[in-house]
Amino acid sequence: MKQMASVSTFVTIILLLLFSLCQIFLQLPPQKAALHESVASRAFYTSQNNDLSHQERNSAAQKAKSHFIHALANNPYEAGLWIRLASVHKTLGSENSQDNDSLVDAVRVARILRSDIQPNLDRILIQINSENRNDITHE
Amino acid sequence: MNKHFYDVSFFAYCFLLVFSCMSGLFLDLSSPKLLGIVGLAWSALSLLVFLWVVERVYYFKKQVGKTGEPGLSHRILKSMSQQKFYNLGVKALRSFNAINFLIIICGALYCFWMFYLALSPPRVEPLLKLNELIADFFQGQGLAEPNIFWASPMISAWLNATILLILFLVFWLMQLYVYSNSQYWNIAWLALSLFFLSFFAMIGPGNSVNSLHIPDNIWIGYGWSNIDVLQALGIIPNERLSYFQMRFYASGITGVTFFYLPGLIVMFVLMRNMFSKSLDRRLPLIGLLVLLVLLYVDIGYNANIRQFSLWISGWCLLGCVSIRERSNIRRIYRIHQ
Repeated sequence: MKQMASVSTFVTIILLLLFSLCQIFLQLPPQKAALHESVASRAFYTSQNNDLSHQERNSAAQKAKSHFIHALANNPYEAGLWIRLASVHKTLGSENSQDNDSLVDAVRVARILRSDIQPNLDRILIQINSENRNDITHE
Repeated sequence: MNKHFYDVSFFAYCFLLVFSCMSGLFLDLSSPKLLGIVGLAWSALSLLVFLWVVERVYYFKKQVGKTGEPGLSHRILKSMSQQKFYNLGVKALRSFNAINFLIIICGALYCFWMFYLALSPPRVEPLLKLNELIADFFQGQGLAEPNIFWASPMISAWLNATILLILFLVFWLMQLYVYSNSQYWNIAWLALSLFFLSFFAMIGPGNSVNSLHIPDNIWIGYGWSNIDVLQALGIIPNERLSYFQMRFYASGITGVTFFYLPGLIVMFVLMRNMFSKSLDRRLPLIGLLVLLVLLYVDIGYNANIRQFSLWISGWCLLGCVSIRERSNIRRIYRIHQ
């Protein structure tokens, strides 16, 4: 029994050593998401700066969008990221219907994850739908 | 090196205990890197102490072998009792016992159960719909589906397993020092102070849970995925939950049973010690009180990683009070044979 206890204790020590080393040196998805999020947030605030030219703001918003999507790929249940992605989408104001569908998806996910701000998100959804309808009638 | 290692490791244990409790109280241990550093420190100390004990035992066996006698000669016994560090190593061997082996087995069962649940995520309708919506979004962007569907619960299970391993090693190392060192009371007082500090930092009206409900029909559980997501989807009641309630939802009744088995084993050991004539009866009583406090905070208080400091100081105390009698070398040698 002593030998079994000592072997199992040794295995426990080695397991903790391996787990700890992996946690320190591996970059886990939530950490990757946090990195992308910080870059995206900086780019997003740049895109809101009125002193910049339209083109510079647009490129900053594109960069923010790409980083927000990468952050979401690593942490898709983070409601805040979906909300900010939706606002970047709105800043870009694309007329492409596929982009509008993505915007609707982003707002819907945020709406599910954040029931406390559902009315605000519902308003955005109604706005997008009415814009889409206007586009269809214009066509 | 051997002469100083034991004393250094004793102080390192005290330092790590304080460091872990303080980082539990004042830092965010939910961060994998920080928890990894705490885990690395405990595993390094445990590995060195383990190797020191093993080295002592091999030295001891070699000496006995040299005599060519089947039993231990009087000469060896006498020289053994005169060598301080030799004694410590042999006494420390008592920390490798059946109780600790059983605790490891129960902990391993719980960890396997958590990883099994992490690999088979819950098939709940609202969560599946949300996952489809997210997948649609990524397909619309021309990207692959995010891999977090399995990664998130796996990481949570991994972090929880790390915490359990740290707690076991704290418990085992404390037993090792209690068996081998008469100065173990220094650590016990330190652990008691840290336990009180953590307890008073934890309790308060703002930290208690809203209700003590537990699901009665969840045998398997939803896995250690994002509890927030399951709450947002209405699968779990959207209120503050204790670790006890969260464990019910995450690992089901099966997981909860595995999780509380080590505590139950220690409780039986303490109850057995209460009837032992050679032991101070106050010690098992203190141990039972510590177990009660741990259970009370686990059930009645909001799930918060700050409870780590309470767990670590509590299990250190349990390691101290759950030992059997400290006996002399001759008897230990007989047990070892």
